[in-house]
Amino acid sequence: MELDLGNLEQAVRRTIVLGVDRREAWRKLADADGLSSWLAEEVDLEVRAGARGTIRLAGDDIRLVEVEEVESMRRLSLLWREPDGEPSLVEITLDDTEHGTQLTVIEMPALALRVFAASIESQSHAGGGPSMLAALV
Amino acid sequence: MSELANSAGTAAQASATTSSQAPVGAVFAALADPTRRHVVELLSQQPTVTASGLAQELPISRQAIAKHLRALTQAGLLTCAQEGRETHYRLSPQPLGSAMQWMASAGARWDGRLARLQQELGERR
Repeated sequence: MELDLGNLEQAVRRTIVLGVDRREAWRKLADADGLSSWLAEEVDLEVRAGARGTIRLAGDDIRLVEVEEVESMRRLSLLWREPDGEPSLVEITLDDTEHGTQLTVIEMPALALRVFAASIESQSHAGGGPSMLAALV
Repeated sequence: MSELANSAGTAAQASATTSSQAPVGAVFAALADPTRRHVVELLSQQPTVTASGLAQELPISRQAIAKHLRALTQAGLLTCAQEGRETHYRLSPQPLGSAMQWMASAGARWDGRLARLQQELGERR
């Protein structure tokens, strides 16, 4: 057995290109209706920083959600967890590309993120950049 | 970090020290450091490591090595046994397996969500 643990820095990371412009892509992130069309079965959440709500995934899989950060047309950060589970930070970012809009999603356990963030801050003394997760990408 | 994260994070840290099954977040946190990842990778190639052995290989102090070994042990990734004057550390694969399983499971869920998003946007065009 030989391990390569380098990819653990980003935990889960996915990138896709959507064949629409960023304004249209953002509509799918900007409110509960947009999110419920793809993210979950039901979304009860106001998309503004600090708002709390719930989403229901398939079956009765409930997540408690808090909106960490909203940068209109660009980024949505959510902190979510199962009622008895560990929280994960989810960051969804939109970027313009030649063929539409690139969507990148990263999910990482929040406990790990705090360690990464402390490490990054101690190295850069940046004092809060655009995004903790973006610094890892 | 919000109250939601802090409260659950504290619970996760507490359970990491009281349960044989460390929370996935604690495993990722322990492996956030490149030195600790290196130690785990090293233990995938050899049965045990010792602090003095690592001190000869890594460009960091013995004190720093002890701190990293302690963090990995607290996350459930290492077990240790005293043999003579040395403490030998061995990889405990179960927490690492749980972390990998979490990554695979969460990744598969995102694959499904993103496929729905592409389908949704494709249908509307």
